Amino acid sequence: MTEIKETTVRKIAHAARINLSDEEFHSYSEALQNMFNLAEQLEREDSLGISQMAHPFEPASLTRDDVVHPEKDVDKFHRLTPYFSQGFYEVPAIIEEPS
Amino acid sequence: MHKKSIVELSASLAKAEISSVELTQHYLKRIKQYNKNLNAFITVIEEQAMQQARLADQRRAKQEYVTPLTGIPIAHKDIFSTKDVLTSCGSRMLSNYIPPYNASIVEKLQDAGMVLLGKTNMDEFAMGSSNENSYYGSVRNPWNPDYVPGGSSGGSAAAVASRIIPCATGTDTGGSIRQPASLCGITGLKPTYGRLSRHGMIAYASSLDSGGILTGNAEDTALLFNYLACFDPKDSTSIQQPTPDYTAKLNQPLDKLRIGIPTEYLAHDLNPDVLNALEQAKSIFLSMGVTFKSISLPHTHLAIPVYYLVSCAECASNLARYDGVRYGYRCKHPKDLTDLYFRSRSEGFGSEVKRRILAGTYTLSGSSYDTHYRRVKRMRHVISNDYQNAFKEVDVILGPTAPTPAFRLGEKLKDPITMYLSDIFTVSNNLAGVPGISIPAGFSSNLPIGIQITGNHFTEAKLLNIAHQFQQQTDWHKRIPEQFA
Amino acid sequence: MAWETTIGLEVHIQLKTNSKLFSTASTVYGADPNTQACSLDLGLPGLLPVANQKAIDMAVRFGLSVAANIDQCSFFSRKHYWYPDLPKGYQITQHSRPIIKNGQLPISLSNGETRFINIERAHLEEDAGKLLHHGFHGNAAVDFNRAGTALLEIVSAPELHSPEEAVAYLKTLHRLVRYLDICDGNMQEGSFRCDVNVSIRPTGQTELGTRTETKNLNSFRFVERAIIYEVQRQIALTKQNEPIHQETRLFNPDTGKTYTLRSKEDAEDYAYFPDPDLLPITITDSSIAQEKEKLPELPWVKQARFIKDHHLNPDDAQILTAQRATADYFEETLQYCQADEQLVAHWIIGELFAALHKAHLSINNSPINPQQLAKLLNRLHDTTISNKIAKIVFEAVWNGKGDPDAIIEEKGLQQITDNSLLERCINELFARSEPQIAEYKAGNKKVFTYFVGQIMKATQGKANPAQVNLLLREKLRELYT
Repeated sequence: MTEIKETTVRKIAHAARINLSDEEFHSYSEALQNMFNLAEQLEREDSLGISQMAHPFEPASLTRDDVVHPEKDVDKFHRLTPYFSQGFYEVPAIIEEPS
Repeated sequence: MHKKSIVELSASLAKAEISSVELTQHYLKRIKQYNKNLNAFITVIEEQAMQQARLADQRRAKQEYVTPLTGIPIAHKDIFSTKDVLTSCGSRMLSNYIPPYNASIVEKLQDAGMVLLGKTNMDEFAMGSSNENSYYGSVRNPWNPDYVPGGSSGGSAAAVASRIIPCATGTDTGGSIRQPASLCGITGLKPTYGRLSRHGMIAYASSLDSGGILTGNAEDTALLFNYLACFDPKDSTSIQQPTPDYTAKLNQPLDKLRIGIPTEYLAHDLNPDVLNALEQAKSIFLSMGVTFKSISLPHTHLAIPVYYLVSCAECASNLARYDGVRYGYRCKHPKDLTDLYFRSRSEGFGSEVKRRILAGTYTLSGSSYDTHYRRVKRMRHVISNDYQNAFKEVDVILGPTAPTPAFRLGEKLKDPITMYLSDIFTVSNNLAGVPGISIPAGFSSNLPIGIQITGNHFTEAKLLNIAHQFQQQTDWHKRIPEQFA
Repeated sequence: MAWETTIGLEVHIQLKTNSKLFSTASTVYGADPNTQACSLDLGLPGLLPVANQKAIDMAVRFGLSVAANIDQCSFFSRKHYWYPDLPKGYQITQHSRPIIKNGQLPISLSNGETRFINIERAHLEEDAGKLLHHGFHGNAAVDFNRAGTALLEIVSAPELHSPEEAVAYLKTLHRLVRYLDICDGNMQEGSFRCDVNVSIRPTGQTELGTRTETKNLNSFRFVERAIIYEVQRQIALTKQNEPIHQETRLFNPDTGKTYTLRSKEDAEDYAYFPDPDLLPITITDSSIAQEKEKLPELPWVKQARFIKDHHLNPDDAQILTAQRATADYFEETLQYCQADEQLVAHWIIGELFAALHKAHLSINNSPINPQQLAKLLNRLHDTTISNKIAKIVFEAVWNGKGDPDAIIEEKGLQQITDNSLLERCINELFARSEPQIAEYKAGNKKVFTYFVGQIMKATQGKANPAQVNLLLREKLRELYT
C-alpha cells in the first residue's frame, strides 16, 4: 500500500486554500490515505475495455439562443456582501511577485 | 390534522372543511412545540407562511389557479435557494447568504400554491449520512432523540416523521433522501438524474445530485412529484422529456411484476432486523402475485470507492467558488489576498466538508487525474451496466435502504469510512442515475427500517405504484412516534 | 552564431454574441462596473451554465474558414485557479477535446510569397472579470462585467520565425474574424488579444529552445516590439551562458521591455476535468452545412480575385479587402460605374478614405454611397468634369447637396470643351502677357504652367486641362512662326 507523504498533504491543502491545524493535519492525512486506498482498490479492478461515463445520461446537448435578459436590479447582488463599494467588489491588495 | 395524508388534506381544503390558514397555523404551532428538541429547522418563516396561506385560501375561494397542492404546507431543505430567505446549506460559509432568486423547484411548488413554512437542517453542503455535520447542530431522530435521523436530508426526514410538516424537499447525492427516510420511517423518492431541475439547488456533486421529496406515503409523493418533475431550460442536464401523471397508475395490480433481489445485498453484513424486514416485505409482495428472482449486481463493492472519488472531485471543484469575495463568509481583517482565501475557507467550512475538498483536490491533482478520475468514470460505466443487465431480467430491484437502523449520535463521527458504508445500498443508484424509493417496512427496537425499490431510468411511476400497493397492505408508514402523535 | 526565432501565437478573440457564453447577461462594452454580471457570472450557488448556441456556431464558422476539423462531440472542462476576478474558482474552457483542430491560415509575406501557418486548435471559453490593483483605500477592486463573455482561443503551431511573420499572421487572422462577423476586432477594448510564445535556437538545431510566453498584447505594434525584445533578451542570456526560464511575462509598452509575471515552477495545477454541469457539445452535419452556407468569400480569396478580375495591384487589393464593407463598397461602385477599376480604387483609397478618416466615420456610415460615387466617377470618365472639379463635386455630395449630376448641372460645372471659347480666352491672356511670352521665347518653359493656370482660373476650373494644353501649345507655336 502506498503511503501518502506529509508534503503531499500540505501541497493538497495549499491547492485547496485550506489551513490545517496539527489535529486536522492528522485526521485529513488519514482521509487522504483512505481515498488513496479506495483508488488503489479500483486500480486492481480496472477494466480498460469500457468507455468512460461522466454522466448518467448523455442526451443531446442543451443550448440556448443568444438572447439577453438584463437584470433589473443588480443591487441585489451587490448587497450580498458588505465589501462592495463604489461599484466594485473590494479585496485585499495583491502583492505582486517580484520580477 | 397532522395525521392526515396530503391527499386527504387536499380533499378537506377542496371541500372547505379546513382552510390553509388553519392548516398552516397548526403546523407552525407544532414546529414551535417540537423543533427545539428535534432541531429539524434552520429557519421558520411564520409571517410569510401566513401570508401565503391567506393567498392560497383566496385562490381556492375564487377557484383561481387551484391545484391539489394549493394551501398545503411544505418545507425546503436548506440547500434550495429561496428568494429573500436565508439559504445556508448547513454551513457557516453561507450563514449570511440570502439568495436573490428562487430555485426552480421552489418556484414550481410556490406556483402550485404550496405554503412554505421554513428551511430544514442538513449536513453541511449535503455531505454526511447522520446530520451531525451541520453548522446549526445535529438533528435528532424523532423515534429516539439519542439517535441520528440520517443524512444529509435529516432535517426534512425528522420534520416529516414527526409530522411537524406534511412534506419536505430533499436532495440525494449518494442516498441523502432515501437513507434518512429509512432511518425516520417515512417515504423518500430520489428520481432519475435530471428529472428534477438542479437550478437553484446548491451543488455538492453535480453529476450525482438529485432533488427529491420526503413525505408520509407513496400516494402523497406521486401527487407532489407531478408538480416537481419537468424539463428546465436553465439546467443543461435536465431531461427534455414529457412527464406522465404519476398518480395515474398507483392502483395498478402487481401480479405481472418481476422483482429482483441482488445476491450481493444479502451477502453483505446486514443487521438481522433489517434482513427480517426485507424477508417480510418479500412475502407481502409474493402474496400480491409478484414473481421474485435472484439477480446479481457484481460490482456493488465498487460503488463506495467510485462514489467517493467522483463526489469528492466534483465537490472540490464546486466549492472553489466560496472564497469570501462576492457573498458568504469572509474572515475578519485578512492580511492579504492569500490570507483572505485561506482563512475564509478554513473558518467557513466544517471538518467533513474540508475533508472531502482535500480528498477531491487530491483526486483531481495533476499526477493523479489521469489515473484516478478517468478510471473512476470507467468504473461508473461498469456499475451502470450491471443495472442495465439486471433490468433485462426484472422490472425493479428490491433491497434494504441502509444496512442498519439509525445509529447513535456520535457513534460513527470518528470513523468516516464506516459512516460512508451506511450508503452502501444507495450510492449505486446515483452513479447509474436510476431512481429509487425508500419506504418503511418494519422496526428494530422502536427504530424504523426502510426498504428500497430501484427501477430503470424514468420508472418513477412504476416505483410509486409498487410502493403504494405495498402501503395498501402494510401500515408501517402510518406510524408516528408516540411523542408526536 | 546565427539564431533562429520560433514564435507561436495564442489569440483570444471575443465572439460577437449579444449574451455571454453561459449566461443571458449582456456583453456590451463600457457599462458601469458590475452592472452586467448576473447571478451566474458572479458564481452564486446553484446557478448552472447553459451554452450559447451562437458562440458554438461562430466557432464552427471559424473552423470551416481555416479548413480545420470540427469536433462534433467536443466538451467543456473546468480549469481551476485562484484569482479574485475568477468568480467560480474555475474557468469553463475546453481542454482535451477542443471544438476546432488542425486548420491552416494562409499569410502573405512582403516578398510576395504565401505561407500556410498551421492552427493547432481553437476552443471556446469564458472570459474572467477585471481586477483593478490600485486606488481603493489600499485594496484591489473587481469588476465582473466581462466575466463569462464568450472567447475563442486560437492557437497557432510554433512555426512563425520573425516579428514580421507574426504580425502578418495576426493581421490575416484579424481580417478573417471580422469577415466572418464573429469578432469586432476592437483591440483597444480587448476584443482581439494575443499571447506570444517565443524561443530561440542556433540555426540548424532541430529541437526548440525554452520558450517564454508574453501575455495580453493588444496591438500589432506591441507584439512586434515584444518579440524583438524577447529575442534579444534570450540571445543575450544564452551568450552569457545563463539559462532561459520557461515563464509567463508581461510587456510594458512604456519601456519596451518584458518582465516576469510568474515562472513555471509556481504555476498552478489547473486540475482540468470535464464540467459535469454541461453535456458534450454535439454538432450535427446539418448545422455544419448551414454554417458553410453562411461562410463569406474569404479575404485572401477576395484579394486574389480583385487582382485577377479587377486588375488591381496587390497593395490596392489588400487595402480594399481589409474589411468586407470596403470590398463590398468597391464592388458595388463598380456595378454602376463605367470608369475603370483602378480609378474607382484610387478614389476610394484616396478621397473617400481621407474624408472618412477626417470625419471619424466608418465606410458603413459614409455620406456618399457607392451609387453616388459611381455617378461622379462616370462624369469624370466621360470628361464632363475635370479631376479638380470632381473633388469639388465629391465634397458637395459628401455635404448632402444631392446627386452628382444635379450638382454639376446646377452649378454649371461641366467642362468647357468649346474650342472657340478657349481660343478667345487664350488670345485675351496673350494680349496681357507680353513679358511672360518673351520669357517663354527665351527658353523658360516653366511659364507654360503659368499660362495653363491662368486659363483654368479664367474658366473657373471648368476647362478641360488636356484640351487647354493642346490649344496653348498650338497658339505658342503660332507665335514663334
